[in-house]
Amino acid sequence: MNPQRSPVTNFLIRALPFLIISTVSLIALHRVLFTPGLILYGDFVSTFDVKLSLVNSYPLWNSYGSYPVPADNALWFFGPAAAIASALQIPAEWFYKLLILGIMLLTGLSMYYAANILIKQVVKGWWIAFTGAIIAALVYMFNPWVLPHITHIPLWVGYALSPLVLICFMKALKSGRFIYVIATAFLWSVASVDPRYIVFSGILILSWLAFSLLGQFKAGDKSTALSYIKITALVVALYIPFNAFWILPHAATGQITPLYQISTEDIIDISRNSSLINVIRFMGFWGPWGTGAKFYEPASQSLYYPWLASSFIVPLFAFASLIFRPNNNGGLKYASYFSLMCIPLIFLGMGTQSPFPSVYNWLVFDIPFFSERLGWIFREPDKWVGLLALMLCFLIALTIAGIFSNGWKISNPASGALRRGRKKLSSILVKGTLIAMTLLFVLSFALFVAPADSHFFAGFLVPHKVPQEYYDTNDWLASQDGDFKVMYLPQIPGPTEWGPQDLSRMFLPWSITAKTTIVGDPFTAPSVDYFYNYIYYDSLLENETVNFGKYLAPLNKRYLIIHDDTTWSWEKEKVDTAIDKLKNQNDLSFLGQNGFVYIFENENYAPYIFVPSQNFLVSGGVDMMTPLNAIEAFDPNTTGLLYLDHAFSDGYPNADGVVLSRINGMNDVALSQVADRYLIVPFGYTDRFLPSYVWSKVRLVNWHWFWGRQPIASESWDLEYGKGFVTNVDLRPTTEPVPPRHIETGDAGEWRTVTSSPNDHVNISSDGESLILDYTFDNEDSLCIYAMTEFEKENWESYDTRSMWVYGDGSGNRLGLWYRQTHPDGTTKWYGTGECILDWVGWKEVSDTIPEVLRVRASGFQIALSWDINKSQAGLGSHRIMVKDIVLKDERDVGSSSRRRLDIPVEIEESGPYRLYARVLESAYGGELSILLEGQKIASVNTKARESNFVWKDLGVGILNKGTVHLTLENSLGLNAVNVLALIPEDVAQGYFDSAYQFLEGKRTIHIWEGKLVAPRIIETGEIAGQVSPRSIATGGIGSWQTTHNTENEDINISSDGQSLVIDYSFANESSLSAYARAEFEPEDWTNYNTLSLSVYGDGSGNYLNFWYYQVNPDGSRTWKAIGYRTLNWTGWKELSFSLPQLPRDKVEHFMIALSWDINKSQAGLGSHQIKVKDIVISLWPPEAATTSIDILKDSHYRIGVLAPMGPASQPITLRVNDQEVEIDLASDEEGLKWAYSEPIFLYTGEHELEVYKGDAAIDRLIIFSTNSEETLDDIFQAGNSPATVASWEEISATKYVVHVDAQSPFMLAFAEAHNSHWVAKVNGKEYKSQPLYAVINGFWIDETGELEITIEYKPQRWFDYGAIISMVSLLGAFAFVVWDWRLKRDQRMRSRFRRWFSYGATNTVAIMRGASALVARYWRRRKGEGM
Amino acid sequence: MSVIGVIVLAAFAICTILFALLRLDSRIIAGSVLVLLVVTVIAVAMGWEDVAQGVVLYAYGLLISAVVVLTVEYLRGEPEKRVEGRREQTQGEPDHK
Repeated sequence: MNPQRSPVTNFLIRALPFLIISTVSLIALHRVLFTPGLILYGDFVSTFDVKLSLVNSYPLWNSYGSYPVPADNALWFFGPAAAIASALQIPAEWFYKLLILGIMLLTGLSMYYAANILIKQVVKGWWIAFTGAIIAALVYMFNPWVLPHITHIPLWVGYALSPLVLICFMKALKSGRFIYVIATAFLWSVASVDPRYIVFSGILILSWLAFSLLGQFKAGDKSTALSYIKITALVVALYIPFNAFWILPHAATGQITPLYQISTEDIIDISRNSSLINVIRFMGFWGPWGTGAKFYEPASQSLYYPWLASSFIVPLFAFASLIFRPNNNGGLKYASYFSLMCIPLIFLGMGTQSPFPSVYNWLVFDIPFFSERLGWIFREPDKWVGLLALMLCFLIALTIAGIFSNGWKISNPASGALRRGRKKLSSILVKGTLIAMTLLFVLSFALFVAPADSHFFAGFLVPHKVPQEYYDTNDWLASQDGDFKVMYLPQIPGPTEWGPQDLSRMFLPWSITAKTTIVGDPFTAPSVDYFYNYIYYDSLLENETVNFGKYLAPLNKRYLIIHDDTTWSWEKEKVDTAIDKLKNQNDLSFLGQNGFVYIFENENYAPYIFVPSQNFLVSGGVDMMTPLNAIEAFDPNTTGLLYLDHAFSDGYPNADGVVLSRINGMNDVALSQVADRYLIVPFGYTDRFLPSYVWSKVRLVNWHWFWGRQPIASESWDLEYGKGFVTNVDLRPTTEPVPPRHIETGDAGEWRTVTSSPNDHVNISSDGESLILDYTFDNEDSLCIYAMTEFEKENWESYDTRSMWVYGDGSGNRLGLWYRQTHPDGTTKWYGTGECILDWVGWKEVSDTIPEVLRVRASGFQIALSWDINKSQAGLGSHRIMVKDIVLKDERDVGSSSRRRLDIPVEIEESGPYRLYARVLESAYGGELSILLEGQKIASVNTKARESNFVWKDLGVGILNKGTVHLTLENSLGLNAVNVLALIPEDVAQGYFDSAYQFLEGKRTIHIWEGKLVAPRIIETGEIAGQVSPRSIATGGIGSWQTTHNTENEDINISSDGQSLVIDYSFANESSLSAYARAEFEPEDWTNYNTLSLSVYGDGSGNYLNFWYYQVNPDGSRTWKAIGYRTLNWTGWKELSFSLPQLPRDKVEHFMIALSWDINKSQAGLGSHQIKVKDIVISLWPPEAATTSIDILKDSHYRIGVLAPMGPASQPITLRVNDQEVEIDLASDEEGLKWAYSEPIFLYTGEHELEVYKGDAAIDRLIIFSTNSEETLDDIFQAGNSPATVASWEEISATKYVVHVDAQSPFMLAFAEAHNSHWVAKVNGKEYKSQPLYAVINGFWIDETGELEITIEYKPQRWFDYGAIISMVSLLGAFAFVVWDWRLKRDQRMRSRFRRWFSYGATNTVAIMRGASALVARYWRRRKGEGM
Repeated sequence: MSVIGVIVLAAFAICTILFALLRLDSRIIAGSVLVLLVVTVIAVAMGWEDVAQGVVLYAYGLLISAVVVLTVEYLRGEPEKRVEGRREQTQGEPDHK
């Protein structure tokens, strides 16, 4: 406060920055604030109720979503804010809006006061400090870096506070006052709400310390330097207890790194916009996908160049401080420090685009101790730019301070710097220039940020009105009694009809529910996410189950809410299918629909805490629940399942038996116990994720999002012991360079054409060199034309580039290039190899990279021209393009000369014989995996199989010497993946197996062969004699199809929607006969096939649908052979299957679909109709005979049960086990899919051959189980007496429950929260660990009996409580000191004032008394004189 | 790193050392940083992305050089010396008033 100014002026000066910052914030946010709705974007996880936000902050287990809450979120900032808002019952939408406004104000005020304090240290004049600081504050608030990070509330808070952290620490060092030490530690603590700002604030503190020490050492002032170090140590010493509430849980549980899978490729991808030019303009943000830096730019092209120029204003003005800084030591010091800090921050902000990209990889992956724990938080280099913004804003403040302080001096007529005679004019000119420069900066910055900050901050902060359906559903759920959970599907719905239409919305199930759920969070509960993906995508949608409720039952899930509001077409199709399928589940009832919300009830859900009657160990993936659920007596609420491949353990869990998939055996049982010291986890030896080029690391959650979406489509649902795995695909036939592959364009006869609609026309010809395409799009209903050439299957894996010359027509139409790939199941699919817009006329070379995976059976190349992309009138009408020199080339430079290898150094502790095991993936695209030791091949594994599964392979024994050896994985061919390797001393390995055999004594073993339930098919066994690849007939185009008809009374027209063949036909009158669609191909040998299967979309016309093939006889004649027929009496899709007629089928060259009116003579059959046909497959189905091996785990009697269609006329099915024939009677009074059993047979431990004979019977599932009686599967899984009953339970808090159990024998206590190893059960002073029951929830094996009081507790909460006490005490102590210090200062001020007043009063009193005494003396003198 | 890159890096290093040893004013280098940034703007506006990337990289190199020299100036206490120097000069000049 300046005593020379009036109090009003002082008040205005103090209030002015707040007024300006508030006003600007309100202007910037006015649309966000006053548009009704909830903000949903990116990391901004808004909830429909503030209470749900609070539970996401505290306690450490979010019971609404069933996942852990990071302890650092709990106290600082968000937690208290949510608690206050919840207490005040502030609506959710206003809570989030006010939060945004509050943080924006905090950002501005923080920077203003920090810059103001700093400038005042180097220049005089409050208005200079004010101008510099307010401009720095505005830049700090609205620069483009902030824009995409607004949605990351904790990060934004850290960013907002960092100026104060720095300035407080500067003041702490300068003044040595303890209050600034406390303030620094406190602000650093609050900024630590985001983990990056734990480090960033630390960097600020340590860098300023280092810079200050440099100055002191140079000056030789060691005592000051020492005091600086002490002060810094004190800050750290205070920071630790302040933050004990989150440090302790992290330290005690080791919960630092979420299960993010970060790879070098991710860093490269995230760095894609981080060029130097973007970084210095704060525009290096990596997303949203596809938009790049576009959302920063103005929509109007006319504003682009002014915007571009203004985008450089911040670095220009900031680095101008190196020239125009305040001309004193302080100015130089601060300019040096801030600009010095800019250098590494710019470098780090560039990520892998810096001149030394490996440095960033080193930071994220390779710094010892640091990267392993904290590397993940720096995966996005743009985060560093937040710190850079801090430095640049301070530099801008210095520039302004320097310009004004130096300029004002110059402009002073008394300074002598101005020309004589015109000093006043020059002074005005100089001052005007200074003000103009400042205004220019402000206006330029406004122009720069206006496009991004307008329109709800580039769409990041658009409020969306939540549909009433959700509130109604929530209200209804809230009104339902009982403890139950709710399942929301789809889990991640993508853009909704009512919400943001772009990708990055964040609308999560837990954010809407009034009741609790278990969220499939891939980073905290990956197995839950995995399980949900399986049950939804691969079981429900694939028609694998009619017992969907059984999946949900043990998770305490009573209601299933489907919200059909996604705008993703592919997802919407799935949701619609799911709704249909859910309505047909045996154990779900459809309660009703409200708008797009569908509610189903699971009638048999388990209690929140329950005790299964029996428990089985499961060897196999999460898909093992499906065959078990198909057993009527199997109830997951009474039979607990523990997966052996969920985690390695040091002892077998207590269980009544073991259930194994067909592929699993003793290796899986024995090796699930391997100790960590014998395990080799390849996941830890690579940071790459480029599976087509290098061995790449993958976690469970990524498996199906990567391979599952690729055509490789691994169907493995195995777990991976929580260890991740490495994978590589290399389908190149050779590692040698291959010559280019030219696609012929000189002969138009090699090409065929297809059109998508009647409005499209195309004609092809050739001039001997180029292919000439004359095409016409008639009108706006036009779509696309295709020209394609086909050839025998070729392996194109060695090619990575496709180039061609195109003579463009300038039409603006889209040119797409495609290749056709045939998959092992016989299906074909077209894949793009690039596309472009025909916006040129004349010849031009067009070159693109071919997609990375699967070019192994390329059998066609296609040129597509479509009008639909631009909807431009110029694209309609007739056009001509020419194409030549289509070449496929091998231009890759990564790993082209060798097979891909991954080196793994292994430490051998003792010399001796070791046995090596590897858990590898077998799949249809598998090939050969080699393992090398010191460069020498020691084992080779065939990884090709019909089904995808991870299997343990015994790779043999070898003598190893103590020391380090190098194992190498080499992908010799195909798709390979390795989960873990186990290198075990031979005697120890034998011990594991002995232990397994011992464990299995007296236990039931059940081997399951999975099939398809709803559409019964015979079991696909591993090695099928005479097996041949199916042959599919393409329906995705009409290129190979032709039409004919018998008379003029029929008409037929075919087209394709890209997947199905669409046949429009009409029978004009009763003279109509037949119309035909015929596919032509080169003669093929169909001898080894026996089945035609296809899907037909019927028209219900009653017409006659017939299928034929055309055989070339040995004498050269040709014969049409009928395959089969159906009457078209259905509408919608239907799968049809026919046996092929008797041989010969060795030269087949046509396949024909015939539609006839003559068979039924129905009037309904006349007129126009449409059918569709797809998935035409000629195959060997069912196989002639199926044989497989079975790994019997123990000597016992076994029964074989088959789930098969049974009926009065069903013939028995014959199986052969080794040489023993086993017949199972399928005769039954009632028709239906039922279990039938063999008589018990005795099998010894070891491998056995099982053969299923050919027959008419189809088997859905086959189960072999050990038994000593005539038991059935129903007998096995029938719920017996429960070993314990849950008498009652009480929720003490979301992290603590007390359960009262009456136990007759040891039991498994199931607790329906997502499995987390930090949940423990305590009883009688003993602590029991959590086991992953059903791979999803917590199970505690309680080895106690009697009336028990069990406490289930989430342990990190306990550590949090301890830490919170330390934090509270230290914060209260610090607060007390602040109060004491303030009172002390206040007392000092009071004393000072009193002294001043006393001195004033005393002086005046003395003066008055002196005057008075003088007057009195004079009076007495006068009196005396008169008297004399 | 390319040969040209190494040469440029060496040139910047030499420039930095010379400025530091000869006590030349860091503002000269800082000024050239600003000039290169303006050139970058022009190059981007012209659509010369590669040129712009190259120029801005040189600007970054010069920025490092300027900051290093500036820090050396700070550690030497240059502003005080200059102020003192100016004061001495002013005191030694004849009074023209």
